[in-house]
Amino acid sequence: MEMILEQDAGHCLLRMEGEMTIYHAMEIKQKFMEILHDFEEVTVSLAKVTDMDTTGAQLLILIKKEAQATGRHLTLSDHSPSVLAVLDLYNLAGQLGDPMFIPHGHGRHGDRS
Amino acid sequence: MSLSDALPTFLAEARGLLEEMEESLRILKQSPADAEAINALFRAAHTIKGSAGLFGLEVIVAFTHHAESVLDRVRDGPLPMDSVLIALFMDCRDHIENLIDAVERDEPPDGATLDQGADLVARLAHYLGHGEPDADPSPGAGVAPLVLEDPVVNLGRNGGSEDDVWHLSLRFGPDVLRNGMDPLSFIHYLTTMGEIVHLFTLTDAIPPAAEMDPEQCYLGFEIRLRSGVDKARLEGVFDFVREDSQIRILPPGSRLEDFRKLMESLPEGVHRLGEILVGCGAITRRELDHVLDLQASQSTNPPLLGEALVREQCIQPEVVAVALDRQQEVRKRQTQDTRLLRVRADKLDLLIDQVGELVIATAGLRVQSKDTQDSVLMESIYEVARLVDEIRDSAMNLRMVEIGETFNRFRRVVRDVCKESGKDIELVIHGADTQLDKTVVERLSDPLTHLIRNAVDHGIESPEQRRARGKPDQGQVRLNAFHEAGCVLVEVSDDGGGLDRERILTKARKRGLIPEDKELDDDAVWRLIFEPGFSTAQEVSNLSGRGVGMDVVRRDIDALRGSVEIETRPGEGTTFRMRLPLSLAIIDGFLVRVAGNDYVVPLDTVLECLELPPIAEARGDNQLSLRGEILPLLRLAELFRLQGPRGRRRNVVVLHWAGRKAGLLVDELKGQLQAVIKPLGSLFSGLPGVSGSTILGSGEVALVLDVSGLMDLALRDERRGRNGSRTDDNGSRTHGLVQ
Repeated sequence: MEMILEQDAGHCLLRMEGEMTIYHAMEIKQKFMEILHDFEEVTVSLAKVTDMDTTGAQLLILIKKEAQATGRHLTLSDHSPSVLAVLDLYNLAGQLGDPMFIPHGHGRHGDRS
Repeated sequence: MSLSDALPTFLAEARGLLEEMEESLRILKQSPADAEAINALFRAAHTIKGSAGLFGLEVIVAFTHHAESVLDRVRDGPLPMDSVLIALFMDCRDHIENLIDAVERDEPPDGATLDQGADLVARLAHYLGHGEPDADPSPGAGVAPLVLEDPVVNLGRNGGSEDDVWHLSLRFGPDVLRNGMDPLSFIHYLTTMGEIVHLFTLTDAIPPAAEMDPEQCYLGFEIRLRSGVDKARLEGVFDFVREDSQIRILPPGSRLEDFRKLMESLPEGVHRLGEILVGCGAITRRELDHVLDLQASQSTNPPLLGEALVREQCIQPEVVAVALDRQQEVRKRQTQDTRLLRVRADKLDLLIDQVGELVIATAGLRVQSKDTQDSVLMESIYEVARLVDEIRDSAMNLRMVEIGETFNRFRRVVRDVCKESGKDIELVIHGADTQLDKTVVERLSDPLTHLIRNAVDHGIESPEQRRARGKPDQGQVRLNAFHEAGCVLVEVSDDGGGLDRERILTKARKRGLIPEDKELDDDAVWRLIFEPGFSTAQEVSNLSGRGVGMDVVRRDIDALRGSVEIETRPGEGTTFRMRLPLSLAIIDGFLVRVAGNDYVVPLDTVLECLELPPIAEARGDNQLSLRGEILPLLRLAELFRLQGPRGRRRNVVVLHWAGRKAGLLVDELKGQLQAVIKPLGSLFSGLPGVSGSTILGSGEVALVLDVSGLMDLALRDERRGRNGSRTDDNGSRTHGLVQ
């Protein structure tokens, strides 16, 4: 798992590369929390995620909730096919809000804070 | 309410299921792909697990669960059933039985049993890959969901219950991810069982970031699944996570009430969940409002007992349902056959005894009424006698049981012996529904065990020898039972090497059972193996061949008033044929009189009666020509050395037994009667030709003739006659018989 951070003032792009699985869940969470703390506006690119399991999906939800709770702006972008497969099966697109189908904002069912 | 009251029912039911498992495994042995048998096996394991769960028998649940998981894979196809697996399941079945035995004894399973269990689990795990049995074999998103129903049917349908749409409410336990079980796999697997109409992922349980453990599972799912599978199978998907997860499955057509309970039992609460269920299309908005109203008005009601039970003991409602289904099924089957009533055997014995006395009393009444010449009285007495006959038959019938149960017990014997001796032997059972007296069946068990062990151990050759002789590797032992001429025949046959004439003779000579130079015909040679202390086995094995057994068989069968025959062909096999009376207590008899004494011959051995031509009597013939057939003639008066006055005429009763016929020379034929057999005292038990006594209507005692023994005497006489000068132990009574 590689997490490459590109930043400019107040904004950052985190490129996730490799597996978003339980084996890396700890470090991913760590990284997510760091960038949410450090930046106002965050984009996480999932283009190079080769594999995702439930922990990965949970972390995406977590970061999304956390961003809302702390008033940060978070975008998940460029979902790779493996990511889409999981989000599709879990029908999470609506709750996450990001995927191309629905613009920024809350999912239909809304997240509880 | 105490569940422990129901424990005996559970135990009895579990034993029944274990028998079913054994039966299914037997079928699978013949045709490993038999889907019905695999299903039956699975169902049995599943039901045992389910009901064991009800009683909190964790060890059984845990173990059966492993077996069931492997079975599930077999059932669904990825794992083919083969002989190794069958043997493994057989061991599993035995292990479950051991566990159930322990429950019955009310003790925890001992160390050896637990070790055995652990060993089996390890062997089972081998078939489950790395503990992810439910994972889709082809991971990835490319698997198209299997659509079982035309989706059009669902169009416009919103809320309420739909055909074939299940509702699954899943709250995975926190540790499932760490245990290598990803909810993704489960949901993926569901897509292979049907079409997911709607899925909602509940993320409510994810805590704020600081407290969130990324390796813990926080997700819950509400799933609408359209599928034609059954409850048990759907339940089975979640077997591996059931313990620490909340899995609720509502079958298609579930009522609003079920959904209400579901909503109330889940952590999210009725409001939140209600919205989700409305979103899923599980219930309608109006229905949700109704539930909310209801809840508001009834919130003080305590939960139902069953519900509480389910909650407290963490039992899956579906498991309860399966257990209940099973109970109903059993009940239905019982009503279909006939309702069964368990009665103590001694009560039955007492009844039979009393009926016996009644028969004797009626016979006495009949004799006395004849003297009164009162036709009205006689008519009434005949009516009573007829009823007594019927009662006797019904009472005797009560004792009749099918021999099948006893037969099935030998599957185990054969299996165990096979394991020990490394032979592959199949036990084929015929005539399992043949009925005979319970006592006979019980007392048959020992001799049968001896014969079967003998057949497996000595009869059937080793696989190498068999191959050399051009026989299939798998040997066959057959158990057969059928009725013939008022008795029951039970056969034990094998397709082994047959009895070795020379070896038997050598052995018999060595043991001094026969003189060195004496020649014997085949039958006599075979009979030698029934002599005490005789064994032909070259080596003594754990099972048989210790020189005990065959003489015990002979003694047991004799004690049952039966007989044993041996039929053997070198290289082709041996058959032991036991001929047994249907019942021991009351028989239909034929009363004859010889030299002032009464004798009873069992009626079913009587073929016909005829008068002996005076010329034959005058010649003192020891043979009888019956329509061209030569039969040995037994002179009862001479045989028993009776001194009483002889009648004027001589009659012959033609008897048949075990395929042989003989004539019995008597004075007077007195007709049929019912004879209640009373055993003779031990002093007379060895009397040849007599098997018991009975009391006649007149109060006199008559001896019951042992036809089998008489036949032996007749045959011996005949041989002796045929062999002319040869003498043997009773050599003084040789008669010339012209052949």
